[in-house]
Amino acid sequence: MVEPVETPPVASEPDRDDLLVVENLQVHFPIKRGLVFDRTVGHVKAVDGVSLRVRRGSTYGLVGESGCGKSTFGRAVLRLEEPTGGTVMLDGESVTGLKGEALRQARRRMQMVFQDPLASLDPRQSVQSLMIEPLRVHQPAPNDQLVARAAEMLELVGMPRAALAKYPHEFSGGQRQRIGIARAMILNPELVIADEPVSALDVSVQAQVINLLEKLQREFGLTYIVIAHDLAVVRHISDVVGVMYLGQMVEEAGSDDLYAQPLHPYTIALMSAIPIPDPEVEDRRERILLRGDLPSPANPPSGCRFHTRCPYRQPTRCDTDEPHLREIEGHPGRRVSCHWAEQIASGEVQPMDSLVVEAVAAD
Amino acid sequence: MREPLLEIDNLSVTFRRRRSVTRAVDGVSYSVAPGEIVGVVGESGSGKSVTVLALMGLLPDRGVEVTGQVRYNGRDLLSLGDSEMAKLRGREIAMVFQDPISSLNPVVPIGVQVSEVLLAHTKTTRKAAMAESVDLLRRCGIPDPDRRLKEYPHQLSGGMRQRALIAMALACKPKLLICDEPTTALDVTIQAQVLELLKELVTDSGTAMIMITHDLGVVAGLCDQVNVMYSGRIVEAAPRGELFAHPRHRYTHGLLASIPRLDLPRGDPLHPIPGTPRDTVAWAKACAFAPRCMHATDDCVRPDLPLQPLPDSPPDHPVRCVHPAEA
Repeated sequence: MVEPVETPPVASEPDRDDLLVVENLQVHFPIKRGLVFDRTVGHVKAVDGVSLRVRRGSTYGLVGESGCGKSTFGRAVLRLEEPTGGTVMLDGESVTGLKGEALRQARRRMQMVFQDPLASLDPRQSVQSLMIEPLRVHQPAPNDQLVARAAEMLELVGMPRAALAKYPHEFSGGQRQRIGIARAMILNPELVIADEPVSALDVSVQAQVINLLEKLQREFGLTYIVIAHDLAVVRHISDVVGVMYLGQMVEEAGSDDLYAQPLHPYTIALMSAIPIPDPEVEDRRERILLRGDLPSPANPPSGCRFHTRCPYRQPTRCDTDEPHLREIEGHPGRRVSCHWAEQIASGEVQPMDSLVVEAVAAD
Repeated sequence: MREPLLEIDNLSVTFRRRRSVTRAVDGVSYSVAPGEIVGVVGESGSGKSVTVLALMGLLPDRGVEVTGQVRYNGRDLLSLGDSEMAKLRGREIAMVFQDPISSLNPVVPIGVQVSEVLLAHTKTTRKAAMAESVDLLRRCGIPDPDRRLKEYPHQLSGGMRQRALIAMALACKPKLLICDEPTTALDVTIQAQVLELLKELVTDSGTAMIMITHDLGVVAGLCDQVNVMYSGRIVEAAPRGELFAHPRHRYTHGLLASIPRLDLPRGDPLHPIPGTPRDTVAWAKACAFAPRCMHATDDCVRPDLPLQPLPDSPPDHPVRCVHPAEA
């Protein structure tokens, strides 16, 4: 049976509560040119200085649109992508400097659930072979013990034992994702990073997988980082939500606070753009449209990276000074990267009229 | 109530392979009037896209059987010949597909692709068509259209490509616009821009629109009338206010209870629908949703349940369910 994760002693120092501490993580991909000699002509700054802390047993949600670097961040934490700067500490130990056997040991403690299980499960391996592969690498034992363990794990995610003999293509999307989750959990990891775990699934199946993730977290005291573009899903399962834009974190808040009062202009626009399945709410809502598209992460705008699309853009500071994540007075537990966050919160700074779509129902 | 522009009447589509027979669409009827947006919601395999592909004449001839009637402006689309249909398509009825990268020709500049539509359907010169394309792209919110015209699809972002596709669809001022998941591949902030653009179009030019989507949120904000499809049939249809306030079919009800909502307090667990959309039985034997339905009884095995208003629902809210949810 899978053993529950140790809980830290009650009177430990506060840092023990953080399972994962990421400081100033950077992943820069070089852009190469030239036929004979590769010259590096620039860098795509996919992740550019992201810091966060994840408390043991909690869920950290990371949202942002495609190209914001959220997936690269998740991969870099697991060292599936080599970070070019910054540190990742798992349970007080640095993961960034690890090599060889030590890295292999650390990988057992951190697992990943991928978006598309059909792409991440080898089509030519049976479910049994897929499930016991991680055990063979990390916890070798006689075959029948491994198979028993795999069957047990499958049962936990709501799949019959008979699934062991089948191949990934024989399952529906939701079932495949259950297998992907079972495979990630079989090594009894402490940290699980789920990258878009439900976005490839049918609407009616998404809730099954979300509930399953929550159930497993309760049973094994797992710590999650859930990466997704669907803010409604992320908010539902997360305790803390971080919003990313162009490789940087623009806002971090408790997930209830974030919806109640988003403070960063990007979060405000993102929230207002998400359709809500209720016509009455939809008609009463004011929408703030963003101009244009995401700028290239190889050549991010000066100053605040969001200023080219920001509906609250001010004539000063925005295009010259780079804002940093800072705590906002009166909003405990929240970090915002905007020069004008206080003024936006108080209503002193308003969005440009041309970008606001009025509510349909005027009353 | 305006006269409908398009009436789909008892449309069925059957795919025949060597041994298997699949009824993808099974007696679907709905209509669209000018200036109206009709939503069709359903999951993968519900037949929502096949319905419109059939009426556009875009399904292959071999192995496909289409029955029923589709009346457009008094003409039966299904009995039209290929060349007559080709005249209508693009000029009067236009379609926007989900994935702009596979709908656009990768080796032809955007401008040529947009003006091609004009050249094919109207008497115009290449030069005039190009000039009009610039105007179209600008109206669809593409900045700097003169430069963009010369670019190839891969040089445009996803949102831009979808706008270019919408510009092509609008080139001949169609009377009916069919959108098949037009924003599914886009980010939410771009989705908001595109939906706003489509909404403007319908209000400004009185275009009739069919909006196919799996996203109940998109439907709630955009559509006047909503049809919910499951396994090839419409299981519930109503004006959007009525549908979201009083979902009666167990599938619609279950779907709404299974999605997390951004505007409601957190903490309540989601109530998923068990099983997958593949776990269905044939409508001819029972209610196709019965295997996944928590309220199913032996009565649900009764075949050919009609889509009809319930005693306690308004006449414009027909439901196909033996054990509907409380109003």
